[in-house]
Amino acid sequence: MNADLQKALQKFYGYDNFRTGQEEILESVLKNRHTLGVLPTGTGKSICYQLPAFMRSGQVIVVSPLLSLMEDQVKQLRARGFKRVAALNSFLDYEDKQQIMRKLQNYDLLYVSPEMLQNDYLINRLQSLHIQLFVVDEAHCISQWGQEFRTDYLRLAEVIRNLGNPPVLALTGTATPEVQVDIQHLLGDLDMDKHIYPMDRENISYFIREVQDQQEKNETMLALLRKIQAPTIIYFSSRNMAESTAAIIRANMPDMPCAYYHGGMENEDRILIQQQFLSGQLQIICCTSAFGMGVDKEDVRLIIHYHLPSDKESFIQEVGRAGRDGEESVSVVLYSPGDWQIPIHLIEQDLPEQDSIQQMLRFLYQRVKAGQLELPSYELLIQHIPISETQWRFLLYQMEKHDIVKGNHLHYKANAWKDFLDQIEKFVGNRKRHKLKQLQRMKEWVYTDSCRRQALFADFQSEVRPAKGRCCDNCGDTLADWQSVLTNVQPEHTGWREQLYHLLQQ
Amino acid sequence: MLLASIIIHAAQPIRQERSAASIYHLLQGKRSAQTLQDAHMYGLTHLFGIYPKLSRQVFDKLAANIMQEEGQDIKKNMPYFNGMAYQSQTEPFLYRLLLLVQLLSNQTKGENRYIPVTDNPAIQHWIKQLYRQEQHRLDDWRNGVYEELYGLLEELPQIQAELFVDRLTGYHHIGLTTVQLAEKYHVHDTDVLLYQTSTIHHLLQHAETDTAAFPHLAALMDRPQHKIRSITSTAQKTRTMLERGMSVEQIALVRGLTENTIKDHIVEITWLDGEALSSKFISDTDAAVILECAMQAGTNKLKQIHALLEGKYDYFQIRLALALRKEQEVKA
Repeated sequence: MNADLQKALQKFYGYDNFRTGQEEILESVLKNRHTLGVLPTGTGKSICYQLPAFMRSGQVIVVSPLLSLMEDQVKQLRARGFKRVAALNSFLDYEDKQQIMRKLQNYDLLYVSPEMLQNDYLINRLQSLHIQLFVVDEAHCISQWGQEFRTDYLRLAEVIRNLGNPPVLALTGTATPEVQVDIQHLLGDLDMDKHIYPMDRENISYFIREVQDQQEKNETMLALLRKIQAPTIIYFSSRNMAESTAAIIRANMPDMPCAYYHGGMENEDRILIQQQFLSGQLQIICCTSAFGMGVDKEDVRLIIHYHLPSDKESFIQEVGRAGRDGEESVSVVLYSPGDWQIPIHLIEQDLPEQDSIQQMLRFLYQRVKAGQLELPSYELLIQHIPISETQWRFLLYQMEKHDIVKGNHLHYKANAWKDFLDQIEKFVGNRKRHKLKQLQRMKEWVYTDSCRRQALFADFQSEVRPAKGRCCDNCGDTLADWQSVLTNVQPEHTGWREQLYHLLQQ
Repeated sequence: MLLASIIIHAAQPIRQERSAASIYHLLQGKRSAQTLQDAHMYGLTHLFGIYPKLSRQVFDKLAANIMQEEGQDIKKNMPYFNGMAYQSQTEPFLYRLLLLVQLLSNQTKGENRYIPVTDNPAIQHWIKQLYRQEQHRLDDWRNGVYEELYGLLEELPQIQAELFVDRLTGYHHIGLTTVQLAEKYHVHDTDVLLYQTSTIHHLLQHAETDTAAFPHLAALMDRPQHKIRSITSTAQKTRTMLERGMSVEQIALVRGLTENTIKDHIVEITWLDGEALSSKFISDTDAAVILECAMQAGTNKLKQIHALLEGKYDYFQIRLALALRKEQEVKA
């Protein structure tokens, strides 16, 4: 083991050993090589760029689409005493943004959202720094074959060039070989050292319980929770269902502390719930996909999917939050035949309808005719055309690519606009078909008769390792003999006097 | 439900003359002349701004019935509120206290790594400043906050003390959210917040009126507005250092300023704060002698006073004495 790296790991994190892949990726990064790292969720990707930021001079820039993850990491780093870190994203108000941008040299580690990199002033300021490493986190977002395509990511190649080609580290937890090729190509055909690690987890077993209706789903869920009695995350695709099911669990299992978590809650409440789960005050979290990123809890034993996500990558990531301590853990999908309507609906919502694209073009055309060449703001647009902000950003990027928008202005040429309409409709059609195909694969996995472990990971890696304990229901395993080890539930303090004493006097 | 009782209570005097919306604005703390006038005219100043986050929908639903029927006013069991006095301080005080308790509880266990209970940068900054000034006596703070809270919570109904303490986060113990508290104590979400506001008003009231008995809680309050606004930040720094027991010479040295500049700061602060600080530099009798002289000569000119007193006092002391006179005049 590289002695310097290990010393740094001990010094900054207090760990004695690296987890799989971290050291190899770090060595490549420290040699200033362009690097692609595919590391399964939960192996601590962030160490791969945080350590260089601590160890070497020069700035590390991290592009991440996950704003809340950014905020979490900055908070955690600050809590550990590492103050030279900041996040630039849309959560900040204008003043704070300006203040950070003016003093970029004060930060060794800077998290940036992809849309912030469209800001010329920021690029300008970045050019004056010595950037030791440019990190593309969640790099699969650059590929339209990845689970979540971000048009903003397509501009990263240009950003990297503008910054004078610093060493690049692309990181992702999920990437099929197809997506890996895309990443390399779309970041500017970089010559990258590849470090690909298997995503399968030997200590997680997979079960599917088919039920007929919601009542049966709830009963099955409750029976499971009684059986396993350990830290559990239950995923839902709707906030309301997460809330109402949490109430059902509390009513039926008063001894198992349970709460819900979703993106619609106040920030302060979200912090509290997360921390309660980490500290063991809560055993069960009913949540949407908003929960989990940046929550590094080692002993989650059970992941229940009350609803399935719309692709296998998301599923693998969510399940990957179990058993980070290496102990045997379980994934259970509760599935009823009607469930597929929800993800189909979500896919439809994600991409603009043909109608809205046409409406938008008509609206823009009228502005051009009236001599208003300036690009309308989203706030103005939304008063006329029903599209989401994501859809608008997507269309904006496409219009720039087709030279309909240059800078902040519209350029009208009849042919170009007509071509654009044809192509964009085709493109949106392809995206929808792709997403439905992903959903279809998820569905096939549910219905498969063969080993679930093999079927889940075969797309991502050439060889799937055998399970350490139970494998899956199709391999004949059951949870009947599961021995629940009760985690130490914190002593309940009776009354406020004792509790206040405990907080401040013990 | 407490919110309903409060609306009934407010509706008694107001019903005949004003709309339900006026009660909403009152509870929500709308800073309009009309709402302020309502509060005073109908004797409802204590309810002003006790629920800034009250949703119009929730209110309208409750108020629809109440405004029509003669409800039972439960004035007797109404929790303590003093909205007009404290509404602007309630939230900062609460979050300072929450963050401070988290800090003290963790610090005593040697734990430095924890996620702060609030993201609010102003609150974090405030507590950080406090920490810088007070880090050598955090144990006093921990014991002080404990005793002051204990004593004041004792005076409240059980439910308010329970709701408040369960909200606190400390070492390896995370506080509950509003929704969790409502569930645990079988009260409505809205009432959790109202009880909390009442508790904070209770703490604020004692901290303000009996600062000597509750020095730690009092320190978490906003200083009166005019002082904050008018003292320059550089003078504020000097004050902090003086309060920590440093001498003028030491401060000048540490800050790289002249002693005269530091003395200017002290005079500036004395104009606003009176003898709190100046007593270290001039005794009451000396100040009286100088003021007497100034009055008899009918002058404020330093040079003249200095000469009349035959150089017995230096210019710094004379300026302090004059600053104190301003104080006494204001008092009278």
